[in-house]
Amino acid sequence: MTPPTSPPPPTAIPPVIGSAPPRGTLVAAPGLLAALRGVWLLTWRRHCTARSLTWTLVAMLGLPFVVYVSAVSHQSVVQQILGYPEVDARRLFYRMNRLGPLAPQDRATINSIFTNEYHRSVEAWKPPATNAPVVEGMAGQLDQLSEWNRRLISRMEDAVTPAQFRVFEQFQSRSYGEKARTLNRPRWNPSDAFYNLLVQFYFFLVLPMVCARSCGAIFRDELQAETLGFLLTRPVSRAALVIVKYISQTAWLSLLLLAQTALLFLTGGIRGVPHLGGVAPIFVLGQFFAVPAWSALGLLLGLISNRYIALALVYGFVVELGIGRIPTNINTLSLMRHLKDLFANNADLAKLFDPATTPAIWTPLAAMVIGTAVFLGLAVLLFMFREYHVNAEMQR
Amino acid sequence: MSAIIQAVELSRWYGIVMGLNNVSFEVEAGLTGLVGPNGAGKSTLISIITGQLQPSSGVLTVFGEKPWNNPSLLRRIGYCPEGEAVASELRPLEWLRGLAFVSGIPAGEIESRCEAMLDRVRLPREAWRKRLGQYSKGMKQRVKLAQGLLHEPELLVLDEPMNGLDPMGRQEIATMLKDLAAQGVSVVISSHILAELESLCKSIVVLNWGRVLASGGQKEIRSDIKNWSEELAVECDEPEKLARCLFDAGALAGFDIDPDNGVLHLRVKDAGNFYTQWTELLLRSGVTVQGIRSQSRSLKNIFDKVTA
Repeated sequence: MTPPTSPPPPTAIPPVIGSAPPRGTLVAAPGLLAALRGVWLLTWRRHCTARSLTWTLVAMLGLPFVVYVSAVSHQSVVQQILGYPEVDARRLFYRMNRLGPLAPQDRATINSIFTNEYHRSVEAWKPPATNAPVVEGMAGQLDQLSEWNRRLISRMEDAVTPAQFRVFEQFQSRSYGEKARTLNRPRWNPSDAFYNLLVQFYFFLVLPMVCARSCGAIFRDELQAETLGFLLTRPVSRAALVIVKYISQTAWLSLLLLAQTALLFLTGGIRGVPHLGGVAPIFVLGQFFAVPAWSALGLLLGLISNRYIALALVYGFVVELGIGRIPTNINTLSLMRHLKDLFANNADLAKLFDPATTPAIWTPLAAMVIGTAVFLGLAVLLFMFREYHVNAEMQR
Repeated sequence: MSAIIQAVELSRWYGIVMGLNNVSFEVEAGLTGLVGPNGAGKSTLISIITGQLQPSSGVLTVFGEKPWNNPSLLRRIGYCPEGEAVASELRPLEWLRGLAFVSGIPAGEIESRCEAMLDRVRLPREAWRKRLGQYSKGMKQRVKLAQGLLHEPELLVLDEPMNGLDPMGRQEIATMLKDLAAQGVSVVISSHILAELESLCKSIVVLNWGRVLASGGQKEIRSDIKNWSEELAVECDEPEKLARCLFDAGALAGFDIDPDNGVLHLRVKDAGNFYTQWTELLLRSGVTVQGIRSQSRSLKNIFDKVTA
């Protein structure tokens, strides 16, 4: 007779239909803050997938790569002027060998002097100020080159025989002349390259387009995916829905663009671009106000038409590039004009625009706030009265 | 019982396309089916009920209020749209959590409520870790239904909710809807699965080409149909002769003779009148009749007739 076996352990009981909390227990309090919390959760969660983050990161590294390639480092510029110490030393050995073979220790000493003075010069070399006139910049460079020449001659005089020194003098005279002539060559200024990419390309082109694309798609993408109905049928007003969607998307976008800016400044720092510490605060301040303004514009254009990118380009050409350049007060309609006014408060950025006057810092900031409020207000009004539904869109 | 949804001369155009054409009807509490072929106006009507569209003319009220931009009313309505559209990048709990916050559910209750709703629609817990984009059509339907139930609506509006569900799933959802109705929740459900609506819904609204063809309880619709065109299958020795006789008397809208078995299919013009004349007409024709079958009065037949 077999002993009775113990009963098998209980398995998980499958959920039963009707196991929801009893009805009538819920005290819901819908409102703007609750909606903002929910929409923010949906926004960042939606972007935080491995695929989405990978693409975002790849896109964010694109511009720093361009900056790295185009903004030549300060060391590279000095190297272009001074040449390579090993090559100079070898050319000198060739000439000195005509007097008799050079002893190995003499070669080592001369090599050491050349290399040592080269590194010393690279480290001590001062780049011309970004706002310095060309002539002044040239004179400064020539002074530094003369200093390098003087030090090298002084050390060689003590290290070689008089006969060898005469050969060196002839060699160095020609070498110095060649190097001084390279100062006249047009050279890609690392600061100019960096600031043009940072401000003209990134801040005034990439940033507005990214904001317009991202915020124009807030409702368009949901409409296309037919998921807008889930939000439109929630107990929040249409105005509140627009505002919370806008805030959530703009907040997410601001974080991404802040990271992008940090990467750009980091790349500039690696390439030895001067005065970054002075530029960064005003640049970040400008971005902090520009992103909401461009985003509100993108939101409005997205609510007007599904071809909001085309509308954004038209707006850019007409208002920013057209009206913004008319030398009367009408150019205050241009947001870029206000941002340029803001940047005029920084010497390094001001030279990009040559502003006639430098207004107080709060004036352009106030203009950006007003622009944001106007665009957002129009978007809210439009969304309150216009239908956003697949069928209604097909009609349009 | 007072109506929860009232439409008075409601019309909705999309440019020159008519979505709803001057319809008036009432929906009372309980389970109500919206029946109609594609393009009948069901989704338009549901979109107006849930405040996504506005009427072009006429008035529609839900619980006595207009739904457009009316948060206090939307608090009482739950909605499950047609199609497979979901936030495909999110997991079900993440999506429900976000929507629960928007619905104003207290933060402390959100987690338990979302889980309870997913259990309620019988979404397997193993699937909760997957993103919605990886779900089958049936699983998406369940999650969509769960989001509609999150905030305890008094009226649940479901657009084709049975699509993509297997027979067992349909049965489960039907049971759940009956359970909700028993708890006092009104449900408006549109579907092409007529057999299920017939067994599920107390009343039906039949739509076609933007018009309400019939509305009310199933009994009312069946009695209405007596006055409409009806089909009879008659087995007799001389079908052509009988058809000619009935046609001459003006009782038929049309007829067919089945070439295989010679059965005469009659489409009667006025069913009420026809049956009072039938015996006399039959005697006058002199045809020997072996059998008469009326088409069944299932909802499907009614639907087929009124939307034909």
